[in-house]
Amino acid sequence: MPSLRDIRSHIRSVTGISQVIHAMEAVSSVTAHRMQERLDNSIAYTDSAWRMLGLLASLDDPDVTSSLAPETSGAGDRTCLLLVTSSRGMTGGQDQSVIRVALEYAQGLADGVEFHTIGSQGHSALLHRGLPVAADWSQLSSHVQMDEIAPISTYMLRGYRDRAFAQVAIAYTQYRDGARLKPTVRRLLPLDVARTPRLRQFYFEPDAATLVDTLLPRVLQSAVHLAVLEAFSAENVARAVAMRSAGTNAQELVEHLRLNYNKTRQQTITAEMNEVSSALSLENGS
Amino acid sequence: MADGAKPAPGTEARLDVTVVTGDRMLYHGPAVALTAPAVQGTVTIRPHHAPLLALLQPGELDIVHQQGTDTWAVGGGFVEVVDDAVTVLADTAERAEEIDLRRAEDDLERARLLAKRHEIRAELQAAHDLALRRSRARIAVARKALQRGS
Repeated sequence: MPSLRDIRSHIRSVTGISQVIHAMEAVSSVTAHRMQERLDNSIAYTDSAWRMLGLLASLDDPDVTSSLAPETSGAGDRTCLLLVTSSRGMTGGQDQSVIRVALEYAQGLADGVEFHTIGSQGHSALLHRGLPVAADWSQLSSHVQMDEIAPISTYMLRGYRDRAFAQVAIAYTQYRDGARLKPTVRRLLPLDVARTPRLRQFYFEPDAATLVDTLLPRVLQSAVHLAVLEAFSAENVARAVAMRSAGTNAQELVEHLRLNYNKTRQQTITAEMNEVSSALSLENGS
Repeated sequence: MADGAKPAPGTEARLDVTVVTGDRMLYHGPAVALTAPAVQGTVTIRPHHAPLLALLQPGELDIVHQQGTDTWAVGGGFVEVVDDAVTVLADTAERAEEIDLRRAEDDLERARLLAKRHEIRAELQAAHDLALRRSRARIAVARKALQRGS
């Protein structure tokens, strides 16, 4: 039977841990909330860029078409896949879900995947399974600005154009309305451009081909940036929920321990009383 | 705020303008007119402008609204006009008032000296040129804002 001191010490340590848990819940909650504005701005940019690309795609211009869908024969179905997870973990299974959908996607490809990672949860999981990781971009924080994404998106676009990959995709947790916290693999290249129906004649300055060549890298860059912001938001929401749940468990444990403590105390008192009374009865008896 | 040209009385703000970078929403609301640095020349957009999608070069972006004119230095990007809705996707954008003129001039001077001393690799030349153009645009916008007096 644990001593009163042991139980007291246990209660102290769980109480200490639950303070850390509460702090983490608060920080994650506030971070998720603060990211909303950045998400909205990124969505505004990304949606506009896609719309402009759609305008260009609706032209029957061979230069535009070949820029949007370059010849990729020879690459099979080899895919460059960016896996976005958290680094700290404690997201209540969210990281594992994204890793799982990424692996399922990779298994379905005959010519394999070149993995890139943001977040050491994913990075470790891949290495643990003996899968090589071409590059880890985990130095990006949740403050990531769009121009910090340029090295990644430039690499992807170049690899796609040079036929090193037939596809570029990103595995992450979606956070846009209607798809909250959904682990997803989204294909970025080849582009799925919705041709905008043009009602009237547009002026394209300087010319459609130049616009496409300049816009395409921006479209990809902003799409990756938005996905990364969504993933960071999702991470913080999941962590807040996980910490809330852990906090509740800690609370229940403390109550259970207090009950134990009181029971043990009662037993100790009863045992002492028995000792005293049996000592007395021995005295009286003799 | 910069006291640029105020619109003539009775001019309505009929344009619906959005100016955004990947990280910031810079303007979202009605305007009277917008002037942007397109690669083929400065373009001023007023209501009933023909549908347009244009590439922007580093330069000055002006938005005329009922309270005056807002000026930004943009580093490049795109402008789209359709049905009086104007969207500017800027690679970089700073309000004229945000620019520290002295620092911008120092940065430009330093970049020029560095370029003179060390030969720039071919693949970095384009990036270097763009950086210089953006720097000059920032300085021009900041100087103009100072002249107008904020």
